Amino acid sequence: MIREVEFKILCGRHSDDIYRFAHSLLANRADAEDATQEVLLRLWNHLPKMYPFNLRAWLFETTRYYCLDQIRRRTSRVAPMLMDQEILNEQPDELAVNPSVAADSSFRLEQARSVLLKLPENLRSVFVLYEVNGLRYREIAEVLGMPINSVKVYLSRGRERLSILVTEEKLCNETCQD
Amino acid sequence: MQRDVSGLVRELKKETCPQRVLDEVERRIATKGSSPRRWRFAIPLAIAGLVVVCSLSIWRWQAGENARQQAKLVEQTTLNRARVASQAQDALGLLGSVLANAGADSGRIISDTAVPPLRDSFELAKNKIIHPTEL
Repeated sequence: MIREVEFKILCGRHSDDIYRFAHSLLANRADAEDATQEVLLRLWNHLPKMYPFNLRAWLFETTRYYCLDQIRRRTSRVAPMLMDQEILNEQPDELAVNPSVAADSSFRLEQARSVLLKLPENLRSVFVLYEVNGLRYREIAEVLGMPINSVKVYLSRGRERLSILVTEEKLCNETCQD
Repeated sequence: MQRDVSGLVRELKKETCPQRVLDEVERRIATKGSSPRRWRFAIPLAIAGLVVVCSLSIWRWQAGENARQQAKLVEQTTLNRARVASQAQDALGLLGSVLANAGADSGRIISDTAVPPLRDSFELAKNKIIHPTEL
């Protein structure tokens, strides 16, 4: 009973972070959902012997390993082409309930994501873990298995590159509108 | 420049995990949770059953072995008795024949060695009694 309550609390606290991190690595919503599910199930299995003080690092480390494994598997198999009927049968996006608001929000989010995905995996991981998920340098170093100084360097490079990419994107959008 | 990145981060932070993911996790835990519990009892029960079956078979085998050994012992005893009886019979037969031979031999020896001198002595004594003057 205590385990269930503890698990629910942890899910509520960390599921969004796990999902965001998985989405930033896998660049696919369905895969990110699968990854989140898998990580939460692993959390459930490891919960009785889990050391609570490095839980966050463990969660992100597990998410990263799972996602990298998925990426490796994905590259080894050819992605099947969606048929027209399958496209028509796809479930509508949940944000598209109010088209005017949702479209704008979804568009901005997708734009941000597309810019982020242009970064290499290591810079992207450091950036997302620090800026989006709010991990400390030490935790990121633990998750990614690198020295703290490298984390700082990667973060700085990631920010620089993202600034350039965002500026380029803006310029591109302006010229496209003109 | 920094503001652009902050905007991007803000957008990314808005993303949340869909509720259906958590529901699916709960469902999978519920289905998964029942099966190990079942197995947790099934495996010790199976092991206990196996132990009981093994013990019974060993016990039965041991009892069969004992009975077999006992029957063998009885058979051995009967055989031994028969052998002892036959050996005793042979020994008695041999003793009898030896005694009979010995009896026959002793009679012959007596008649051959002791009887002639006795007869001669007896004849001499008789002659002395009959004809005392001749001596």
